[in-house]
Amino acid sequence: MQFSFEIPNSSLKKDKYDVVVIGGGPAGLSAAIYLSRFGLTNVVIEKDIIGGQINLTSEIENYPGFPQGITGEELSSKMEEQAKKFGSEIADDSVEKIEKTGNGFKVYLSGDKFVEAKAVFLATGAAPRKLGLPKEEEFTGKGISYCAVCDAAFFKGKKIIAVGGGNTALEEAIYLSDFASELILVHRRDKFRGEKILVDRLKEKPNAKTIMNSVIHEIKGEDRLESVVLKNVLTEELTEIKTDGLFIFIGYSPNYKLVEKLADIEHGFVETDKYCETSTPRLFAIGDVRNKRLKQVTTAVADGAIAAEYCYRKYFEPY
Amino acid sequence: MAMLSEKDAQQIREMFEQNLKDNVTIVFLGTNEKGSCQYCDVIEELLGEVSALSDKVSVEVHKDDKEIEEKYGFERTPGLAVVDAEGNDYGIRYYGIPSGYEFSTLLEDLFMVSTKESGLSQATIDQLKKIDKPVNIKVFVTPSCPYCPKAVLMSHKFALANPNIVGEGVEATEFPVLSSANSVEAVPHIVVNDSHSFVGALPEVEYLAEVLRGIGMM
Repeated sequence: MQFSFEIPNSSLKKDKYDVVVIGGGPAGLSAAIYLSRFGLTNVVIEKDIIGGQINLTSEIENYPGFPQGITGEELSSKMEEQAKKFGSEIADDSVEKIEKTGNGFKVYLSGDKFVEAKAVFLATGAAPRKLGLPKEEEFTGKGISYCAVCDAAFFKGKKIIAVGGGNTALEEAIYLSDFASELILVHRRDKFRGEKILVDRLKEKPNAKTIMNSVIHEIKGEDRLESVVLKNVLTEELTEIKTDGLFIFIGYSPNYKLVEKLADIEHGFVETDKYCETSTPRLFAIGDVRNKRLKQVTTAVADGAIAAEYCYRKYFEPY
Repeated sequence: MAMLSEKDAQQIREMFEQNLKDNVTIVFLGTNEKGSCQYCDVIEELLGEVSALSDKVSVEVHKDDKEIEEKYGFERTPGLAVVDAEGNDYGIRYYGIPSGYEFSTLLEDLFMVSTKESGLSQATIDQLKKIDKPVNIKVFVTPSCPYCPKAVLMSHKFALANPNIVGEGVEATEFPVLSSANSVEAVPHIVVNDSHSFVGALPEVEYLAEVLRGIGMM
């Protein structure tokens, strides 16, 4: 048995920074590394846990440099260490509001505190999306979950239905199949969107099967989840399946609320130019919150680097 | 081999220097009963390493000690309490191994008891002070749940604010019978006075509302 030990973050040390980075996932930490190396003072403010969503995944296998795969927890702690090494601060707080001032921003934190920044990087990522069905909220924690690493242990030897068709759904279904007696992955299309290697691996699991072209039509149960009704999107046929657990991995809703008055929002994502700058100068959006095609750790860290370099050249570089 | 890496140990040492004010003590109740405490030895070793990182942190290890069990009202083992230098007990409890994300909860508890600062808003503290009957908040967690420390810590902050409140973190997989009796299927799962439950690391105001609802004060 191996144990890991997570260490908490401290609170903010100063009240003025060149750049405030909101969100401590891969995008925010990558930006911090580059900002510090350009000599800009910066703080990464994280309200939950450093690494963000990658903590929810069992393992990251497609981030270059780690051929054996790496856990989200380990990767984020390495990125954090790297950012700190170059002088970035990591602080535990939540940002309530961003206000534009004459030549920068005031970033309001919990309890009426604020910090000033000449530029702000929004790296708030996204939260798991919900199906939006009746009883979904009521049964969250009563059979319904959005976090396999958190809750898989409660479904040992039980039947689980998972929903989704991307990398996350496939990875988490594979992880859950090691706990479940039977796992069914339901996807609304005829093919999975995720990588072939993951599709193949799921197929090898003897207790896993897939149901394609189907969506969760109804969630049923008295006091807890008892069954779901699937609807075949081609034939409209309804099938009820009894289950102990329902794990939902149907994508993410970006956390854009902080900048909805400062930036253009497209389908819930923050619009930027190719350097990740929003319609408000000095306000950047990086990582999963930004409107872009591929949302991965690799593209998140790229956003951080691109935005940091551009921000430095445009607003800070001495002539 | 040491439980904590040298790098982690150094980081914790620095955090202790920055964040600890008065002395604090971790009281640990384990058991020698065969097969009933999988991680007691591991916890003892871990706590020893943690306390070695600061003169201000000490550890009391007890095994099958009825007196300690009653004094702190430990309901099961392994159980941990964080108390101040004078032995004042603030109702801060953790049951199970404080590993993974829950290790950060233990460190935060040490900072909190050492400084007596909960970081709660004055409005919340005022509301909590009105509670005049015993409140038990159980927060079921797993060490791999990144949202869980916030939920445990909130119960500990509430406990610090009012002596009527006991906040218990419970590592769900180590106490499967208790977890299943409380219908725990997702974490963090919070149970107030063994009757009212809610799921999720709610923000301070909503968390408080659920606790007040659980004791019929809302």
